[in-house]
Amino acid sequence: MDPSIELASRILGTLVFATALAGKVRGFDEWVGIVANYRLAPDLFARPLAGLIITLEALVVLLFGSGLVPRAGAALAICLLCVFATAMTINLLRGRTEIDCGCFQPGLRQRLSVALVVRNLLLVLVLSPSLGAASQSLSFIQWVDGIGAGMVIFLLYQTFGQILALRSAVVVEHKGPA
Amino acid sequence: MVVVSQGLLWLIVLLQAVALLALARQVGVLHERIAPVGALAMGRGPQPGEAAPKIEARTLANTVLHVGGKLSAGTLQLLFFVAPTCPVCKNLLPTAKTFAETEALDLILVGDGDMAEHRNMATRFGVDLSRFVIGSEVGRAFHVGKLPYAVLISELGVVVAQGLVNNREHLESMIVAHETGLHSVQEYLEHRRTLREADSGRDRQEPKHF
Repeated sequence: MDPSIELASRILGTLVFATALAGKVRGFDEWVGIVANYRLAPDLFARPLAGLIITLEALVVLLFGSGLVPRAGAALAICLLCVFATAMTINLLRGRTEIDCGCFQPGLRQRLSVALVVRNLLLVLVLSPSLGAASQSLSFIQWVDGIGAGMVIFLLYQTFGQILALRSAVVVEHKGPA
Repeated sequence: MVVVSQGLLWLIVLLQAVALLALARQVGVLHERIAPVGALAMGRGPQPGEAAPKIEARTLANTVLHVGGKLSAGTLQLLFFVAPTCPVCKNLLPTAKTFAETEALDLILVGDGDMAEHRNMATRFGVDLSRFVIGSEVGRAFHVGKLPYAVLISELGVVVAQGLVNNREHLESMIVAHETGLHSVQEYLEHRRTLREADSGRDRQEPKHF
């Protein structure tokens, strides 16, 4: 695989997890509430679990961002995304679609939906190139392509997040305030 | 040279993606700021929740039509006050007709004044003469001061919503009032604000309910 794809995947992973991490750290109390709202662990474990997820996300940013152990970073990121997708699916099956997903993308809050699960699985797909063979040396043009592609995909990811959040807000209002 | 052009190309794509994100966020901001519109309630006459006056009114077809009072189950009656001299009424009349058809409403037009002019108006817009009330009693009973004015009455003969209407959205707001039980836009906005406050508070409080 072209090393620029691997680089784009790494940059995307770093930016996605860094923004999510920043949101969770800034609103830690809210994040603890969101973890508890998923109702997957006893109340007592909500705060430690929230802290653990933040630590693991920080580790992803560190491993991915530094480029020292990108494969480990990719593996951890994919594991976390799969865990999040599973947690969302369980709550969707329970019919608890009104809770906040805790995605901490900028803008409106996002309620649970199948689209968010699909989005996580797509992210897994996009991050998977980083699991591949160790990085070969990159030419200058490959650096340009990798950084450009990684940043553009991240911006598009944020845009789709925003649109999804807006859609869920509109749906809630149309269901009426009753 | 290739690297420079490639770099420039990425820069342009990047700027476009930033612009797209900014637009999406702006849509969100606008969505938050723009309040819904509704029929302008005048605060006179029978208010939403009160019984509509029962009136026996004469139509352009010279028949008697019962306005207000109990209706057949599931029926909503829409009184639409118009005048041949009112340009907004003439613009809105075709919309009101299709709206009433779509929402399965019992549309009754109400006018006051020269019968020939009203008859011309009804013919021009294809309105059934037996569904066009002529006379001042209905307008006086509902305290109609400005046109076009609409009143939505429930099957129980209760006023659901009323007010000045200028477009389809205003008419739709009356159906929303019926569906939600909230009688005015102000009441709806207040309810939405309360819901949001309760919603954001729930995230912090819900851990108690394991």
